[in-house]
Amino acid sequence: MIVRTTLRFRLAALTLVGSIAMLGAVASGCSSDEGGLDKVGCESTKQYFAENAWRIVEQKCIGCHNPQGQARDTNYILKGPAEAGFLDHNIDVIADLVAFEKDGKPLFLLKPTGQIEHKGGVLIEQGSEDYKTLVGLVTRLKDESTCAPNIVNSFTGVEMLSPRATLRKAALMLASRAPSAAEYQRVEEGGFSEVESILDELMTEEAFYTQLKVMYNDLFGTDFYLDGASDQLMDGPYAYPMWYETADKSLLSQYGLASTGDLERFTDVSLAREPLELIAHVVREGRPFTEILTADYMMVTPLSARSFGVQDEVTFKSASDPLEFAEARLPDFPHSGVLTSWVLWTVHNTTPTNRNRHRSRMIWYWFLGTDILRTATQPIDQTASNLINPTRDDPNCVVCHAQIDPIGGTLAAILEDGEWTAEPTWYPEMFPPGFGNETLSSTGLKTGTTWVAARIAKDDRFALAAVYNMYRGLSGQEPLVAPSDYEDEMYQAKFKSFLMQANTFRAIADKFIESDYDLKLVVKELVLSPYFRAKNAVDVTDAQAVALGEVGMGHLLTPVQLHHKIKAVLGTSWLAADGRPNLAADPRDLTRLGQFQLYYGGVNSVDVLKRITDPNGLMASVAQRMAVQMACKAVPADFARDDDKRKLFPLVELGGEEHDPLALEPETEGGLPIALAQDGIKEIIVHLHQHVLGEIYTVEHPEVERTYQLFVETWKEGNAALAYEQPEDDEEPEYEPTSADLPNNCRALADPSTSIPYDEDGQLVSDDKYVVRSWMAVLTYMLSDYRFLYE
Amino acid sequence: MERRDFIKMCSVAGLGVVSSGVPMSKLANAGDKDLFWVFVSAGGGWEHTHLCDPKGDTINSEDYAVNLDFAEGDIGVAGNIEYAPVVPFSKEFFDTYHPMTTVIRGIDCETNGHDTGQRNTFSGRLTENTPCFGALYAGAVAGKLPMTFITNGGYSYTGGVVAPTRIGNTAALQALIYPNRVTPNNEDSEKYLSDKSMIRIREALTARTEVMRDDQKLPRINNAMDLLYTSRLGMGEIAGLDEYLKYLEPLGNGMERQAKIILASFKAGLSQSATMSRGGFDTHGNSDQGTTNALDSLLRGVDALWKAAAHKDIDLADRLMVVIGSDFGRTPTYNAAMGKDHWSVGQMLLQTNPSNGIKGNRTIGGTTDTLKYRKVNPNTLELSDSGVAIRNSMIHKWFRKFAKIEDDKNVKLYPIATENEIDLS
Repeated sequence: MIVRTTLRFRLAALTLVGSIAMLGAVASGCSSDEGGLDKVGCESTKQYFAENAWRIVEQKCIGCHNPQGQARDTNYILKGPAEAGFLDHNIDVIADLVAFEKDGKPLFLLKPTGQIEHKGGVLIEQGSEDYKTLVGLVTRLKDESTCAPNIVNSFTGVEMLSPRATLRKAALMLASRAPSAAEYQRVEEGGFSEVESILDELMTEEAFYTQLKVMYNDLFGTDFYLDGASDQLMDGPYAYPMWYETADKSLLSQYGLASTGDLERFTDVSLAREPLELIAHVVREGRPFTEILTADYMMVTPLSARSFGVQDEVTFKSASDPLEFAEARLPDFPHSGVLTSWVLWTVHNTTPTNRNRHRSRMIWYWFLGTDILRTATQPIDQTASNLINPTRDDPNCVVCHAQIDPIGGTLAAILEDGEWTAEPTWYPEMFPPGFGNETLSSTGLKTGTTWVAARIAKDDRFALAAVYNMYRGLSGQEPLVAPSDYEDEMYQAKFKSFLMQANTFRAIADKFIESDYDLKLVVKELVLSPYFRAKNAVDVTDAQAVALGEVGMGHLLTPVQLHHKIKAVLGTSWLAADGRPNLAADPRDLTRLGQFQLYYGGVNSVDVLKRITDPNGLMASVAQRMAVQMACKAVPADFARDDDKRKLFPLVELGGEEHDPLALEPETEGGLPIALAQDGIKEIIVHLHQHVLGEIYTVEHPEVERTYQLFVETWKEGNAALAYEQPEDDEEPEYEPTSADLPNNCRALADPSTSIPYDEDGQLVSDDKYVVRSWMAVLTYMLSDYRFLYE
Repeated sequence: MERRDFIKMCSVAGLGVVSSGVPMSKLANAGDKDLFWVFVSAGGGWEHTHLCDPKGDTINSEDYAVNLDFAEGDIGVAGNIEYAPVVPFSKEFFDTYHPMTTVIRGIDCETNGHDTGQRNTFSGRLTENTPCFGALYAGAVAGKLPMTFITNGGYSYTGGVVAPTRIGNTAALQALIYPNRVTPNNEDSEKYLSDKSMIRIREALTARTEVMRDDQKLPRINNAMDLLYTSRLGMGEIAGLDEYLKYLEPLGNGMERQAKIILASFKAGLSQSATMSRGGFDTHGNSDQGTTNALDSLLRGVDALWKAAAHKDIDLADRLMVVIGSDFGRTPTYNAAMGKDHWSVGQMLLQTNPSNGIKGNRTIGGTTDTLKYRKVNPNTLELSDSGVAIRNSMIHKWFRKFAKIEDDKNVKLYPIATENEIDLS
């Protein structure tokens, strides 16, 4: 007789990421045995399942026990590694299964060993190593004292950033600015607790929302329509595509625009940015992140409100800002957050045969953390199918289509080019519209987006997907996929690497859910995790190196991130001669990218959609051009500032007196060292290492000495060149012609932030001691460095 | 200072010395006989019966015609290669290039998903995160070149083996070639810093990076430092790109421009492999017209590549290996929108001078009248019902052998397991 025992197993809440932040790399945890029954007390069942039993389950069970497999009608339905959270799902299923017993033995062991009927036959021999492993799993699943995966132990030997360094990195990446002195002071006193508080504050700044929109545009690609959105908007019940052509000209003066062309341009931006602004709005207002799918509104500006005919229904705070976004509702329209975003489904359009499958795939990817096409990496032979309806009936096809087609059907009201219809129809030969085990009624097609949005928002994988998306945005890396090549000699190490990350992300997702979907909490947890903070490790073996392969970011800043960092550190931006940014879009016209933006690996959301994340020779040249031009601009400009406003070259106190670094030369004209000046120069170098690169050194540090030598050698060469008389004959000159004047572009003639000219005394045009150019060399060096270009 | 040291120092400093005749990268990366590989991607899954597996409008064994826009009798022939007559340029293309072309028909692509299909076609593996052949090859043969792998789209995943390079607005190129010039286009321009200062900065950076790299034990960060270090090594040689681009002006647009930049970069010793791409092949609607337009553009792009390679100042036609492929093929039947959907059978074209060891003017493999793949004898490559299906894995296994990179440490990280092997030489 088969009986069900009382299950005592449950997954413990995983809340250890914060502990990692506090502890750094610490401790050894409990070790796993090989299926034995001792040491169960402190061991994570999930860890045991992942590291020992998953391999068996994947190889021997999942072939039949999947939603489309031969065992699809049983209660033992497993998920493959392509699906987000597959380990948690599978262990839950198995935990439930082991409760069913016959003669005191779980069916989970009896069936695959053929002790009772199993349609899949005998897969595991009693007494084999695999059997012992499964026995070990059963024992652990029945043990009440199981604990959560030991995340901290996974990162033993990894050196983490200090609270101060964590704050600097986070501030630059999230808020496009360096921390203030007061913020540093708070962290010095309060440690990571204060880092968390300051992160909360940073995430109220508009720069954070700009970053958030960049992250989601990298996913959605909706900036494609920054130019031309209104041209794509079809006539319809809620669409007035070319309203601006007949608009009252008073609108131009109201919004400070010059022409009808400006109205069109700003309307395009308003339409294209709608889904990104909705996401930013949800986070800014502190609402549950699930609202990005369930919002019963859309976002419009005063201009795009006219595109949808709701201009009289929306109230804006400003009467003159054409790009202020506010909530708007269309009448009798099933708003479903971004799932009813017109521009999103215009970019991701469909065809009569694609039938929303691409859109469904993207929903899986964006909101369910699953790249459904990964399930198609097993070989299929389409030509071997003679079935009339293979996507429904051929197992090769069903493996994807059973997942994709139902969600596609819930978008039936979204037509091919993103338009919405109140009278949708769907294809009866396809898997019916639905989600999971639920089917959407045929009368529900009109509101299918609302129906599916509510279900996705409640799905456990939605939280994981949000963690994945934030991780992508912060690190530029993809979340790891469980390896499946068991022949690979590094399989164990690769799986460990995956598992470390999966456990960390799962823990963050759980906290995200507990917080009622506070996205800022996800950002904070990621910032405090080893994936953001790891900076080095003790000596590691090859296998450990593979296991730690994704730890630590080594993230080449994107062009826009670098653009902001330059401004944050130097107080001035890298601009082209016409005043437009070199690495970011023109803020006055977002469709005009900086001249080096694509060279430096950026995207244009049109035909360049993937970022380059590793530098090549051309990108190195971009970095060098930036470094030399910004040094030229920033060094004289800083020296020209009032003493108390300098960022790079503050006065230094030497022998009880304050000295201007501009007056410090390391040697006399006769070559005798000036000790006091040398000390002052080194103090400035220490300051620059900290300010520009985030490095805290003492004056004795070898890196300070290296930088000092660069300064001194440049200064000596420069002074020799200044004194050098060029030969009149064909003799090769020893020095290039060198003037006491700074290059024209480098002269500080006006305040860089206000463009107001300095009076003559305040200008810096000459460098007769070659001190300015020596500091330019130092700054060029630092701006070209790994620690400036990467985070 | 010895000239050799000077060149090295200038290179480290990012100062162009290409006029010295031998690019620094060539000194560091021998291999004057290594081929330059270009992978041309027809993005979206091409309608392969509109290229080299034409069927025509004859009713087949299942009572339909695979093609409605041309008759079987109009199928073009160039040597031993058949081609569909729908793209006017195809006659000129195959008449010109058939002696150096191998067509592989009836490839069992093993997938009909775009991402997996592209990956399989251009890496030989269905598995996620497999670098494309172009990246593996560049890494194995010329990993230190500053722009060793150029991407113009298509499957270009590199897995960190090499850094991909994308070349944008060529008008801005001068500023990158001469980053220290105030006015990049003016060779007499004022400089921001002296050349000696720039060299000094570069030496300090190199020394600092080496210290940091030696101390860094986390592989991701160590690898990032390594890539930055490598990227700087050949900065000064970028001038060569500009030098050879001048011979190929006007650069044109689209694939023609891609082709010319690639060839100039090969010639300058900056790059070893590249991708070109043309989208528009995912023709779920109005397939015949859509495919015709896209194929015309694709063939003209490949033609531009060969013409640029043959330019007298480039002269690399004998060292070029071109692989033209797509995600997969398209269904034998039309759908209601006169489109064609995904089909897990495809084709690939290889083009190179036969003196490189690959015979031209031949067609390998085939499909039935309903576009099912036919098997081949793996030894003779003749059609054989008792043979094996040609798969991308087999093609790439052979690519790796042919290119002599199968023992490279990075290549070995991505093994290709095939029961059968073929020899395409």
